Amino acid sequence: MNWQGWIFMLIVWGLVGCLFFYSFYHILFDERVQNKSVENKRKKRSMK
Amino acid sequence: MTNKNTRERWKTKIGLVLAMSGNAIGLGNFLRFPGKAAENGGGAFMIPYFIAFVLMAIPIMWLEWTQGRFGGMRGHGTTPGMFQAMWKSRVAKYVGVIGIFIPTVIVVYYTYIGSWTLGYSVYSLLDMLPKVDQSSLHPGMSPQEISVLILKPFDDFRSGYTGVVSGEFLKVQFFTYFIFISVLIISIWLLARGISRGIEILAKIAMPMLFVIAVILVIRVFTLGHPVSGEYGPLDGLAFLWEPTWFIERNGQQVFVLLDPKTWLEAAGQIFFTLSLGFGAIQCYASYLYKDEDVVLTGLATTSANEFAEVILGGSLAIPAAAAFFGIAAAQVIASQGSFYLGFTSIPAVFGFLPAGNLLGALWFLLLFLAALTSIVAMAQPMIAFLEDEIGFTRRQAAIVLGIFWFVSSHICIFLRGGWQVMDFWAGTFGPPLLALIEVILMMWIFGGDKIWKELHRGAVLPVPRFFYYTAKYITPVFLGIILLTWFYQNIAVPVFRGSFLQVALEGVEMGWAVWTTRLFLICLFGGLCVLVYLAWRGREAPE
Repeated sequence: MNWQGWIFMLIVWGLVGCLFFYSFYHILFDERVQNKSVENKRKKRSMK
Repeated sequence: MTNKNTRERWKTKIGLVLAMSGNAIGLGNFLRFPGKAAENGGGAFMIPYFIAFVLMAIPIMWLEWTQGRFGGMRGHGTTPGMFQAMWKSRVAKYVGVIGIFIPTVIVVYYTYIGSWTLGYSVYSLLDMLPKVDQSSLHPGMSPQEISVLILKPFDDFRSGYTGVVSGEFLKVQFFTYFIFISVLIISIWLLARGISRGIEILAKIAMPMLFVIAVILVIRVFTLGHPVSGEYGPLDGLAFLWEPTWFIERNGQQVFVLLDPKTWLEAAGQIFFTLSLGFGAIQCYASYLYKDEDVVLTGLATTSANEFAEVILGGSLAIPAAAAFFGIAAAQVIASQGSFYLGFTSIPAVFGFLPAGNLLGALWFLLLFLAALTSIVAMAQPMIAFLEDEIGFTRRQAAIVLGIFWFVSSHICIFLRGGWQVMDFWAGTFGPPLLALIEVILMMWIFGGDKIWKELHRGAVLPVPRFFYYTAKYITPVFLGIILLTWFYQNIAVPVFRGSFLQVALEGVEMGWAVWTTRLFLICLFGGLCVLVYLAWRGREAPE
């Protein structure tokens, strides 16, 4: 693969990979997101 | 309309993200993307692809999530009710019919195509696919020799499996039909179990499995070395996919790839298809969210999961595997033959040359089946939601009614020549950009851009850059308008000027009564859905 191919591939993989890990990091480990999930569970219980 | 307080909800955030990713990740990620990229300039194709991703896909995705949550809080899981809630016009709910027409048509033919992957997986596991002659492949073979000597038995097998044309009909094997019925029953059973007990559990099992299988296959492909000749290996496949080709041949002429409208249309079409935008399915899944659930982050997560599966995993499987065994010239010819040739003809032949090739083949088709099954249930869910929310059926009744319709109408795809191609043309190619354009205008201009922006941010942990507000309001509708105008010019205006409009089918298949029958079915389905919407709203508006 020539240098242009490597650059295109690494840029695109980098962008997609960063977006993937950034969003999943927040969903799995961000405290604010986790607290919201707990709130929603409480709401669901209270609806029952 | 269902009571908004008794409406089903996603049980976990990760389940929601995986289910939404399952909706987006389908056969297109592993079969369509590599072929389109290779055909349209390789690395150069990624420029229009990512421009379409930022200017069109991300804004539409967030708008659809927001619209879905907004509708769900008012007891509507499908676009007729959502459009009506956002646009106080009598026609709004009928315009919204497009959002249940598209996924319902797609599910009819996609289930059949998805069932091929399960059938192939079984055949491969039982080592019943055609055998390759190890001595027949040698360095220096031309693409034509490879097509005739290596790939033809696999292509003939595929024709036999998917149906041999006999006049206006297709002759289909019993096994093909049996597997289709099995997939149909599995899908209906999952839908009848509901959102959290059916679709969410499926996603939690299928999506991690899909990623693990894809990683195993990618590792296997990149450890092939140089199996046939020292001159080519899997990295040459990556080079074929990623090295930018700035000038390509179109209709016998050399064109600069970034100035050719076809490249932009292909890139935008791929983005639409891969993210299931304008299908009405995202809104339906999002309607089962809580009022303050974060749609910004979850939407971004599902989009990134889909792109990860497409660009990184999908791009590293089929083309590099074909290039490693057959060389770049043959891989180019294979890619130009279309997605099914790549996935169902070339890949089984490649695995046929490897030890335990039948197991690798079974894994490859299982990967495709998992991708297809999660998309099938996502496409079927809008009709279930419509029957539940607007007509008042229980989930079980809705699943049975949809199942009967699904079973009967699938026979058009199984036994009529060109049946699924006609459905794919109208529901899979023309429909999504049209629905997306309507959605964007409805939300950003009729309902109000500021209101939808506020709605999008409710419960969001991360703020969306203001850039996307202006993009959604001004650039995205223009982008979509250009796509639709170009589509209209190429598919309607040019054939009308040439006088071939009624002689040559727009759908890319030979004209015949089978094509007209399928078109009539689509018209009747759309009309029937409009009548159902009319009856549902009449009942609601009638004085007590």
